Order: sequence, then C-alpha cells, then structure tokens
Amino acid sequence: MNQKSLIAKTVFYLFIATMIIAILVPFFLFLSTSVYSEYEVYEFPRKFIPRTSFDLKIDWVDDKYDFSVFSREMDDYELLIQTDNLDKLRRFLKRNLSVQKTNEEINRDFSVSKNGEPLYLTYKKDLLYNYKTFFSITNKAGKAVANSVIAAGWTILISLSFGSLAGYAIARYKFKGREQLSLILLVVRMFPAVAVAIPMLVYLLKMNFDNTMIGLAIVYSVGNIALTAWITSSIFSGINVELEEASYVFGATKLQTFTKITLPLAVPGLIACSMYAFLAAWNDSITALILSNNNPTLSLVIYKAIGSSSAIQLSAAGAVILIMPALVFTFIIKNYINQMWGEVKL
Amino acid sequence: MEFLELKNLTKIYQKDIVAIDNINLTIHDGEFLVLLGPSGCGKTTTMRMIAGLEEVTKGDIILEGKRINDLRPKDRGVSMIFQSYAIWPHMTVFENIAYALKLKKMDKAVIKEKVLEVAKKASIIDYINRYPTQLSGGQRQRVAVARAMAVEPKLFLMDEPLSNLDAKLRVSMRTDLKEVHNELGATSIFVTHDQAEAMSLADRIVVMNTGTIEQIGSPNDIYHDSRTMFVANFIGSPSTNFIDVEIIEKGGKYFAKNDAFIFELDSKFNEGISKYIGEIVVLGVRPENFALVSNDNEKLFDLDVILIEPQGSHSIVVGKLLGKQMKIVTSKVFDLNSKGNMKVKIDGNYFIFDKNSEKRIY
Repeated sequence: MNQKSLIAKTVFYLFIATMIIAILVPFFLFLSTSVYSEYEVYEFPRKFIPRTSFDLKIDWVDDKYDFSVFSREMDDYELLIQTDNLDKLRRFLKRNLSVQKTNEEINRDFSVSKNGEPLYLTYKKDLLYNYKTFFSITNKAGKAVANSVIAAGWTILISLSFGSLAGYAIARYKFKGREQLSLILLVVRMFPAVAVAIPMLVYLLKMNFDNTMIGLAIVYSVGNIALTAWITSSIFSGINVELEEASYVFGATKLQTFTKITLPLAVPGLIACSMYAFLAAWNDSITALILSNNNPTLSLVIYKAIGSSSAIQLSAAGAVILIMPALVFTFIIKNYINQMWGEVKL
Repeated sequence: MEFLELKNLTKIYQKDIVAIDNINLTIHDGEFLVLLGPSGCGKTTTMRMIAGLEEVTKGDIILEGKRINDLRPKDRGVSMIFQSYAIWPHMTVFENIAYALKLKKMDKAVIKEKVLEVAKKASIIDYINRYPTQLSGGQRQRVAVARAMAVEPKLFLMDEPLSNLDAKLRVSMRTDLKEVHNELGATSIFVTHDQAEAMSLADRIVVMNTGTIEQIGSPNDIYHDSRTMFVANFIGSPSTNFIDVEIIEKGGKYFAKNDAFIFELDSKFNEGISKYIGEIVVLGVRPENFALVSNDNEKLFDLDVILIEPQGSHSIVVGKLLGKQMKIVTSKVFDLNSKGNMKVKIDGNYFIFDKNSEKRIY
C-alpha cells in the first residue's frame, strides 16, 4: 500500500471515529447518569461505568450504627451517617445509594455488628430506581407518556393523509402554480414554532382545542404536512407513470390503482415521512408548553423536570425515557429511509 | 364493418401544440399494424388515445362499430405492453399476471389455471413466484407479454416493447411476439421507431411524421413505392440518396440534368413530369439501385469515394457528388483503403419528388 492511500485511510477512519464518539459519548453519558445513585453523582472524578452494588461497612459505636461506604476515590470506607434510627437508614439507603431495603431487612443485617466486630456487606443497587422515581415524583408522568403517543399518532395521521395527497397532486397533475406551491410548502416550515404558537393558541382556544392532544397535533402537522407533501411528491414522481397506466388498462379504477399500485410502492417513503412527523411531535416541548401546559406531553414534563430539579440523574432518566421510543421507531424504519429520495427500484 | 376506425382524430396539447393532426385510419380484424415514425411524430400519442390513457381532442375512435372515446381504459377491452414493461415491482410474476383477472372477480381456480397457461406460453413458468427485480430484462418483457395475453383482449397495443432489450434479444423477442400474434389472432398495433422491426413484423405499416400519416402500406409498398421524400428517407438503411436535378425536354424525351450528369427519365414519367420542365426536382435513388461500372460509356457520373463500410454480405460505399454525401450498397468486396473515383450508374427503380411539397411525381 502506498503512503498516500495509507494517510487517506487513516484520516478517513479518524474522521469516522470522531463522528461516532461525538454521537455515542453524550448518549452513553446520559444512559450511565440515569442509573447513578445520588452518591455517585457527587463522586469525583465521575466514573463512566455506574456501580451495580455498594460495599458497606457497619460499626456499632456508642449505640449507633456508623454507616460507611467504600469510596473508589479514597480507596477506603467513607463514613456517611451515624444513627440508630432504622427509618432514617432506610431513607438514606434509598435516596443516596438507590438501595431499596425494608426496616426489617436492615435491622436483621445490621444487628450482626452489635457484637463489636465491624460488619462488611454488599448491597445491590436498584438500577431502575431513577426511572421509578421519575414516574412517582413527576406527577402525571404516565399520562404524559400517553399524551405524547397520542399527539405523535395524530400528527402522523394528519400530516400523512393530507401531505401525501398534496404530494401526489404535485407529482402527477399539471396545474397553474405547481412550482410555486412546492416552494411555498417549504416557506411554511421557515416560521419558528414559537412565533406561530401564540396565534395558534388563539385559534385553538376558539375551537376549544387548547390543552388537547388533537389541537397540539394540528399545530405540529402544519409544518409536517408541507414536509410530507414535499417528500412524497418526489417519491410519487419517482414511481413510473406507466405502472399506474398499466393498472388502468388492465381493469382498475383510479381508486383501485392508487390503493393497489401507487400506495404500496410509496410505502417506504411514507414510512420515512411518518418518522419525521413522529419525531417532530415527540421531541417538541416549546409548542406544548404554550399550547398544552395543563395537559403536558412527556417532553414537556422532562423539560420542566430538568429546569426545576437539581437531581440530574432523574433528568437523565427522563431523557432516556424520551429517547427510547424515538430510537426504537427509527431503528425499525431505518431500512426505508434510504429509498426515500431515490426511485422505487424496479 | 371495420374492426377499429380512427376518424379525424386530433390531439392538441395546451391549446396550441398539435400532436395529432386529423388522422384517419382503419384497422382490419386480426391485422398486425405498425405505427412507425421518428420520436415526437405522434405514434405513441395515437396508441395512448386508443388505450384511453390520453383524452381525444377531436374525432372519433370506433371499435367494432362502437364509439369508445369516452370509455375508461378498463372498459375498452384492450391490453397493452409498455415500453418500460410496467411490471409492478411489489407483486410476484403470478400476481402481476393475475391482477386483471382478479379485478374481474374471476374464480380463484380459473385464475390459477389461466395464469399458468399463459406463463407456460411465454416460457416464464419457472419464475412464476419471483419478484420482477429478480428477473432479467428479457424475462420481464415476457411477463409483460403474458400479462397482456391473460386478459384475452380484442386489441393488443404494444408501445416500443423491444426498445429496452439488447440487439440480439430484440430480434428473438420480435419473432416471439409475431408468433403470439399469429396464435391469438388478436388485432395488434405496434409502435416503434425502428424501421427494421416494423418491416419484419407488420402486415401494414403506417408511417407517421409530425402528427400526420405520411403513408400506409405493406412493408414492400412502403419501401419500393415510397410516396413522400420523408418515407423514402426514413425507411431503409442506408436511406435514399436525394439529388437535385433540373428537368429538361429534348425531342419529346425528358431528362434530369445537373452539373455532374444528364439522365434520361423513363417514359412512364412523361405525363407527370411535363409540367416541371425547367424546374428543379429531387431524384431519389435507393443505395442498392446504383451500380458500379467499369466502362466509361455506361457510367452516369464519377463518385468521389471517401469511405468504405464493409458489412460482410455487402459493402456500403460512401462518397461525394456535387458536395453532397451519397451512399451506395454493392455486393462487391473492397479493400478498406479504396479511395478515389468510382464509376456509377443508376440501375433499377428511382423516385422523383416535387421539391416543395416533397410528394412523389409519377
């Protein structure tokens, strides 16, 4: 191999590696933070790999438990609390170490140290503690998940049904102002959501759609119908007209042709469009804040949680909850995205 | 009653672009008719109007005595093979062929039997459960043919169905299509810009140019009895040589004269040519109707040869006469580097055309 191509290859792989790291590191950071316990959050230096259990040392001194945790930082046991109150111990274990134990268990385990010898034991951490906490402390978190799903579902439905019909018309019919229309479609997207949200709220209030998911979905759809029409028009014009004409000649009506020929061929593109619609609805918090503050979506709940809480591990858990469905959805349909712009292969 | 009649058929796009200009055509039952012409001549538009894929601006399409202008494509009883084959990529070969039959709500067992039958005929039975992406171009073409056969149409329409195939496959598919036609006995209309294809397939050829019909006739008529300069030029490869000549009369005989030669016209032209005396007309001679001679007495003119194109069975001599390129087909075999002058005479049929109207003078 000559030197030039070696350098080129090295640069190429370095570039790729940087990209991957830039994407994966923040994601991993979120994931690991979301399973931290409070104690780990304040450890310094922060450990990338979260603990799964804690090594504890219990001493019975002056009729109190001296409760210490093995600190990786000091390479020794760190005294955290002195108490004989089991309730206090239980709450401390739960809040600071994410360890869930009952008073009886603590009493049974710890009382062994009363013979004077220090007691060493390992408690398992509850890795999902932050997620559970997130749902229990953020009121209406479960409702918010449902809201997000409903809003995203409506957005997909509205923007796909209107957008794809518009896209079909732009691709297949010649009419005055067709070129301008497809340009205007993009202009619609240029308005920032915040700028449109207030007038939108006025409309929604008049229609009694404020604080409803359908109202929110209508607002999300405004931009998405345009994008869907734009994308689908390129998909539909990629489908050879002769495929439709053959269907007419061989006995199908226009509607039959659309449902049996055109639509199945456009499915990959439509699925890709549905991803855009989904992500737009799922990730938005600003529009939801203005239009549906009393009936929040998941992203709005997390937005508020991050803003108001100092517990970053809870915020991280919320973020992961928000990311997961989007990630799953994207992975399912990733195969179709490549086909989005290109022609339907024959 | 004729099988299919086109009466004063006209197609105008966007109010002023005339694609088809008032054409009249009758097609007999069981005939293989080829619409031939350069691209943009309106042959495909004509076919698409018959299929119902294009609206008729003016005129009538009458199929078996019934005006079908306003019928939807599905109600016309035609079937079509498209240039791109138009095989639906999301259906298997079986589903493609069965599509039309399913829409007719035929019994499942009957559909299956029918599909397998035509698949066998088109020799694609082995691929019946494959998707079109897994087939070669020729196989897809056969699927298109099978699909068109399955509906047992009154009228077969074929829109340049062979133009996407490679040269060798094209020739063998050509034979197959003709066989299908003979077997089914259905009337067929075939659109092509390839004159060799037209000649070998057609019962009758319709030569079209700029939305009008130039000539209708059997392949032999079209070639040996071309009515217009366009037909003489378009049909045949290499095409007809055109030479400007002046008509003069001497002692009751008519001569074609130019700076290179003077040529006595056959007496059969006497009547038609008499009003062209002193005028410039166009002499059209097919390349094989020239002959090379060795004798100075026999020669009509000397051709300044610039190129020889060997074709195996014959050679094409490319030369210049009065600054215009001429092509002569001869059975003689030449050395590739032959250049210089060759002695040439006209030996066989020739046409004379009016220079303005480009119509034949008889």
